[in-house]
This record gives sequence, structure tokens and C-alpha cells, in this order.
Amino acid sequence: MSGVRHLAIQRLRALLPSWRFFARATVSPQLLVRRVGGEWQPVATPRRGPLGWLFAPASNLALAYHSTVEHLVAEVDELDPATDHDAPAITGLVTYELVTLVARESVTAEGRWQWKIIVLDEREWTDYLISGELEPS
Amino acid sequence: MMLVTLVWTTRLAAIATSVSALELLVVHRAFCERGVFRWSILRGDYVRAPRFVRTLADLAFSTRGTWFLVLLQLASGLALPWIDQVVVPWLAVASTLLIAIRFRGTYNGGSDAMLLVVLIGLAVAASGAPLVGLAYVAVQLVLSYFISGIAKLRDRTWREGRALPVMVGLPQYGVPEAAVRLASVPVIAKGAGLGMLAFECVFPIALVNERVCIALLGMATIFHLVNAVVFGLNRFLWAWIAAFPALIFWVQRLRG
Repeated sequence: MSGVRHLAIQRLRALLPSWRFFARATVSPQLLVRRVGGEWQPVATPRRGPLGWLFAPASNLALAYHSTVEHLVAEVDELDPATDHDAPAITGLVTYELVTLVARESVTAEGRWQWKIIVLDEREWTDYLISGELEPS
Repeated sequence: MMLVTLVWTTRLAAIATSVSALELLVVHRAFCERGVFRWSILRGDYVRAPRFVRTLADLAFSTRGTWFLVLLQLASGLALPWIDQVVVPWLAVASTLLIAIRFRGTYNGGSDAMLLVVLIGLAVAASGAPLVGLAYVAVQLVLSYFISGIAKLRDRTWREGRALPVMVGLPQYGVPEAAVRLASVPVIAKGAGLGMLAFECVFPIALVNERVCIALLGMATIFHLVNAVVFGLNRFLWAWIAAFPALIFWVQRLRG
């Protein structure tokens, strides 16, 4: 029952605002993609047009994608650190599937591909989570 | 004065609500079955929920249900200034809240929350309690700045004025190169960072009198405009500005 309660609180958080914007000035996790054997590339951020300060659908969608990446990191942080990256406890998460779809949007090349999330550890970017090799869509 | 306040809050809330809905309509592929936020995956969140919740969620959050919600949000947003019926703001509240739930809590973070605050305030006002509705909006507006400022005070990077270069460097915001260069000048970064922190922490003094209130809301407008231009947080601009008339009204009422 606590899982259902947690879900309800999560889903209703727009009604219970915390107002803690940017409370910590830290670099957030980043999502990268690559064709297997190729170079890792960060997922692209859409450029805002001159009226982007009034109306920015693509940029706000990109922010929603980024929040999903942060959400996955928060969920994986709650698991045992020894959990394998390909364990069902991770790959079975809804957020994991969503991040795979976010990453897929940035894959342009043919062939098998992968995504990974990197986090800034002290002053160095380190791999946080690496997906298995995925089939092209 | 109350009528003028309600008229302006309604007009601004109509813009904020319509912009939210129109932006989702433009990127509708995201909530269709070929997009990232497809319901066939999101419904996995509800596997442990009671059956009636799952049934309702399937109905409301499927692709077709989401289209309906977004169109309802747009229609109710556009109708706000024109149709003086209590059902209109409540429909705007319901559609905005359900869209936030559909996107796992929020689609655009705090802007969804402030938009809901304003719409709930308007709905309560239209239901016969205008003072309560406007007070709710005014209190949440003051809290939004104050809590945000106090929360930042706990972080050393903010206290030492080193936060701004970090924030403008976050790739997800696609900050324009000119702003990144500007924030790399230490004196500017420190001044702007500490200025923003001070503004948020002292915001409750807006309650002192109308003049102070207007001055702080002027600063707040510039603050949100800069955030919209630099960070692309356009929805925050509309949602917060829609809350301003309620605060002005209550300060006038308390101090006038």
C-alpha cells in the first residue's frame, strides 16, 4: 500500500509545490548515445528561436526529457549500489524504458546502439549507467 | 478593486493556460504511441494501483484521452476571460492537474504548480469566495520566492556567489553563448547570483506596503524575463505574472 501512496504523492506533486528551485548549484546528469563502436555523443538540445522566450514547445519537451533522466538517476540511487546495469531491478523500471526512448530520438545512424548516463563525480565525469546494445528502431 | 484584480488574473491565467496547451499540441507526438511519453509504457506505473484507478487512468491518459485533456485545457484557458461561469476555471484546474499527473507529476516542473495555484485561486473566487482565492494565490507567490531563496542559502556555492556560472553551463537549458560569456566574468556572476539570492530571501517585505510590493514585482518581472530569455523558462514567466495581481490586491487591502 505504501507503494501506491508514494505513487499518489508523486503524481500529485503539482498540487503540493516545494518551491525549491535550483536549491543546489550542481551539474546534473547527462545522457549520451552512440552507435556501437562509435563515439559517445550528448543528446542534442534544440535551439530556441527569437520568440523562444514566449513560446518554446521543443525546448520544454527537451526539459521534460532531461527530467526523466534525472528521475532515473534518483530511482537507481535508491537501489543497492552493487545492482548490475542489466538487472531487471533497473531495466524493468518504467523510467528506464522512457530514457531508452529519449535516447532513441537522438540516434541517427543505422545499426546497434547504446546510451549511457554520466554524472560529475568531484571534478570528473564518470559513467553512471550504461544500457545494453540495442537494436535499431 | 477586487473586480479589476480578478479580471487581470483571469486574463493572465488564460495566456498561461493556453500557452501550456498549445505547446503540448505542437509536440503532440511525444504523448502519442510513437513518442517518448506513450501511455503503453507510462501505464506500467499503475500496475499496483487499484483496478478502478487503472481503468480511469487508461481512459484519461491514453493517446485519445490526452488529446481530449489538452484540448480541454486549451478551450477552458481561452474561455476564462470570456465566459463568466464557475465551471470554466474548474475545468482549467482539472485538465491542468490531469495533464501533470499524466506526465508523472509535472510536465514543466514548478510552472505547472504555479499555474495550478492561480487556476485554483480563480476557481475558488468564482465559487463565491474571492478573498480566499486571491489570498491563496498571494500567499503561494510570496512562499515561492522566499522558500526558493532560503533553500539556496544552505548551499555554499550559492552563498559564495559561484552558482550562476554552474547554472548557465547546464546543457539542458541551451543558454545562449553571450549569456555564458557574461556569466564567466566573476564580478558579474557574483553580483547577479547574490542579487538574485537576496531578492528571493527578502521578498516577503512586499507585504510592507504597496510601493515596496510594486517595486519587488517589477524586479520579479525582470527576473522572469531574463530566465525566459536565458534559460528558456517561458512558462514560468506567464504563470508567475498571472499571480501578481492577487498579491497587489492583498497588500492594498492589508495596508491601505
